[in-house]
Amino acid sequence: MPDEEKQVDHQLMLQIKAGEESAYNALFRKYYSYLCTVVLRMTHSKEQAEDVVQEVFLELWRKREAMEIKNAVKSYLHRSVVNKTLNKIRDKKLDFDQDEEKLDSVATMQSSPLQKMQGEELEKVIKIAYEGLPEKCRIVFSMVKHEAMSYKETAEKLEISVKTVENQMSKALRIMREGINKYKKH
Amino acid sequence: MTENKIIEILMKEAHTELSLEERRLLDQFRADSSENAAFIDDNKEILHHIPNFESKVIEFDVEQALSKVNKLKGTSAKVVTMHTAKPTAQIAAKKKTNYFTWIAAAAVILGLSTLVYTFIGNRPNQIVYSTGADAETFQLSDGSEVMLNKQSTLTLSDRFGSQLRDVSIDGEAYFKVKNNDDQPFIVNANLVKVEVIGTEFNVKNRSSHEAITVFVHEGKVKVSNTKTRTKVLLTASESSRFDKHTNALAKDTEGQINETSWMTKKLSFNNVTLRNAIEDTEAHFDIDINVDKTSCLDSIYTSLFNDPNPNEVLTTMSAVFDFQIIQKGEKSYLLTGGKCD
Repeated sequence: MPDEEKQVDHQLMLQIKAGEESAYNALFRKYYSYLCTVVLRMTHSKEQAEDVVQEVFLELWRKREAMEIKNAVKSYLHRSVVNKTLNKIRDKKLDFDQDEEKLDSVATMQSSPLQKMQGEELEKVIKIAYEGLPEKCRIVFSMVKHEAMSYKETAEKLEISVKTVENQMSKALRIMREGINKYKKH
Repeated sequence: MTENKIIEILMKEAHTELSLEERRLLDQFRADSSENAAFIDDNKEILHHIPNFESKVIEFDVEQALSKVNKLKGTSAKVVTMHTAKPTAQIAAKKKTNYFTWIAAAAVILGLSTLVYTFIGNRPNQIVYSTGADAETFQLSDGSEVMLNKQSTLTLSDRFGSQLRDVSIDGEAYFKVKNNDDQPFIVNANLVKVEVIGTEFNVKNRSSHEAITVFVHEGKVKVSNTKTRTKVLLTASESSRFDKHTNALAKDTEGQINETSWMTKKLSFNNVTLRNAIEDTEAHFDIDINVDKTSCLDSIYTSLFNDPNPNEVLTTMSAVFDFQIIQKGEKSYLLTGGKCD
């Protein structure tokens, strides 16, 4: 992220602290969609993603006077929406050890004809396979892959065992590998 | 189950440096069978191609969302939702946040949020700087500058600047310390303590590494082992190494010129062994380089690179020693052949 960009955000934050609504609106417009997509990597629900991001922005306004953001404002917002999403996931009390059916993404993939897979095509197939991951797999996988959390950290945040994280990760990769292999054979 | 472990290592590899042990496990697993090698390569391929975002473009109605939030933010009724955020490095201060949560609950009852927050805002708090995928430079309140390498965290003590200048580092950072004879600047890196008056130096304290190293660019620093109380005095261009297994702290006599290459973007090999040059190159790019002909490793090599990519460095080495470069994986290279008499 370029430094000027960070400076702009910090300037906005200073104005927000001083109660400037226009600065708040500017920050909201700038990052709302980005933050929603961050949440969507972990969950499938567009509504939930929007709720989480709106709550984080509400809190930003309410806590603005006490707020000290030392790093990039964008990273702060990113971290806040991830933490809040995790709170919600925990509240749902999903049973991560219980098996669930994978979605029908693999079947969809087979309909696209191609003999040799490489480059862009491969990317597309992996995307489809990834988006078809079962919910719990996807949550765990996105924490480790996109949020760069260790297995231990992921386990702690979700209040599950490291063993469960291991299993979900292996499962996620297995599902994606199978999807690709089926596609290759096709 | 080994495969679970291998996947964990592959995931880790995408974000940070692997320990020697992890690298060894990976190499051994690969060497065990061709199925294993295919398992590693397939998974790496998938990880490499996973999209950062949804491939379908989702449109959000930003204006509608904003007007909803703007309506809500004027009311104090919903402050209850403020069960936020475990302290993340960015906003800082475990102490502060805990207090904060508690006060927030009180504020809901009393409806005095603004007042209370202002008050809290004035309390001394611990400041934490942390970096993700990129290095960043920070200026501290005493005027010192810290360039924090990627995936690193710097924590300042509560009273930094007023009574003492005390910080701790997890990861790697380069310090340009503002001179102040009355207040030594102290860097804590687990069992290693670095004390300085005013100088520039690099501290590397990564959990994945077997040693904690300090390299002095300018000035003088005192490095001590807080457990055994051993001390080492370092001056410009000198470095020390603390071995995490033996707890031994000593001056490091080997050339450490590339210790700060992550910041200067320069790799410099001046009459060093190829072994040294390869180690520095591996550390600089976070890649793995193997050489078939191990007898070449003791050959002497000289070269200077300014902001190179791995290919440039490997190509130059290969031109000198007549190697062939084989890329084994995203971050792994093999140099085969070679003439080095």
